Amino acid sequence: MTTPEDDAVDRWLDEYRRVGLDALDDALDVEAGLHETLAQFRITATEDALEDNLDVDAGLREALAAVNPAPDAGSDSGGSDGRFEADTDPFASDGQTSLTTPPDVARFVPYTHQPLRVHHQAAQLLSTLAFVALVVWGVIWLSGRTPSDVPHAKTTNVQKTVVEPPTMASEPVPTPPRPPAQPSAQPRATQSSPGRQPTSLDVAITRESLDELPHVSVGPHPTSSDNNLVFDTCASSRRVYSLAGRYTLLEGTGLLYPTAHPATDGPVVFTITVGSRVVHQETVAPNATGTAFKLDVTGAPLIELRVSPAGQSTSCGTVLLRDPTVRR
Amino acid sequence: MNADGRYDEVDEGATVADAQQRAGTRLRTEVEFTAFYRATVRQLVFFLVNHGASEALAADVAQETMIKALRRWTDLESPRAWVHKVASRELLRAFVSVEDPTAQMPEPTALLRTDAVAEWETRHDAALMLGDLPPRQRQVLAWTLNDFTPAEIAQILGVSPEAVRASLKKARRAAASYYRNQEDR
Repeated sequence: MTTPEDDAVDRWLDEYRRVGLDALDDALDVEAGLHETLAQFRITATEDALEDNLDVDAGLREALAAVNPAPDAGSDSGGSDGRFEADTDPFASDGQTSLTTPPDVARFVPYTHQPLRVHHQAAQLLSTLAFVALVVWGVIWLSGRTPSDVPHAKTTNVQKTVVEPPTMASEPVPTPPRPPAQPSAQPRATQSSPGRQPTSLDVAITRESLDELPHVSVGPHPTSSDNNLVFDTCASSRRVYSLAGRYTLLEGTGLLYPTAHPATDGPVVFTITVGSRVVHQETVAPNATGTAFKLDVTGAPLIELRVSPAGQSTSCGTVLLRDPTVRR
Repeated sequence: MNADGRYDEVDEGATVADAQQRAGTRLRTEVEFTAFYRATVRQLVFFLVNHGASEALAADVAQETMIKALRRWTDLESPRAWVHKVASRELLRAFVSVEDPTAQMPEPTALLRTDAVAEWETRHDAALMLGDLPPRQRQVLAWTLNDFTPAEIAQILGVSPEAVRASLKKARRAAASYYRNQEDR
């Protein structure tokens, strides 16, 4: 049973609700908020999909198998598929592969049967070859890939990968010292290498997949061709400053052109981080382009482009990576 | 990949089918969520303001909550109740958290127009009344203003319906008293 006073209070609260919601109609930009939410969701969904699709362990096994030479067909020293298998090596001690067997261990092996001796010698030879190949492969890996190493996408040779260097594998792998990176001043050739199949280690970034990353696009630059990556912080969510995430450009040197957005109301600080190292930081005035910064992206495990407001909190901008290895 | 170094066509086809299915699911999710967002976000901000948040904080919390809701959209049985519950908890965390003065200022959410922030209390007397209520009464009245019934509020807050009704009764009594005073002036 309601009293007149209850009715009056109800009307008063209803009026408050109407006034409040009307005020929020003016204060809120619902479409902008929705766009921000969907953009954030798409970034996360794309990253999750890539994580789901990549089988890093399988890719690593595949890569390691590729550098291990297989014996001739019919050899009695390998597994059922003709490849040498450490697990089936009768001379390998428990928990050791043939790669870790000391070279002089053979003299302690009681040879009582000629085929067994041949078997062991073959195993030793294969172990040595595999070790040499692995070292050579590691040097190539760490010194930067050549175009012929890069699995080719249909539209661009920029690759996205979450692969860690071989030292991240569960088994110990000899790691040669890393030579200093050699930035290339000239654009590298982007010829495809016929017959090379992409491995499961790499996921090519095509035009289509770029479209799923709203903050990354291929766009023109006044002083170059249209082969550039544009990282747009204005299109990303407000708290997502990490633009490149787990990007790895497999080759090339890029020139970075930080540009503050015309509509921004204060200077913008651009910070470029490779791995955990800040390699460049610059404050750029609104609607101005900062200093072109040369970035060697060869083999860089993680490139982050962070944009921070300086003074005003609504600042944003773009960083254009002028990279001649990117093709439409 | 098979022994010849080529990808297995069956696996490739399955991968494409999986990708298409994911894309279809994502598209449906975005369409459903878009309608939900447009219908709910304004009420959610209003709800948070009635809990004592400023407009900026309310918009910030509402936006964070909406992003969370979208990420787990397919798992939500009652999205409207879920976002209200999560947002109110998030607001409580914001109230009790100690801000790091050296931390980077977060950018404001795109949801709130930067030139539209004004003192909420100047818009209606009831806002002042809400601010004077004890926390539980204010909480229950805020839920009620967003059209949740005492039974729903009780279930969401994990208290008995009787306790909710008692708090609501006291809140309404306080509102009536405040309203009478306003009328007398």
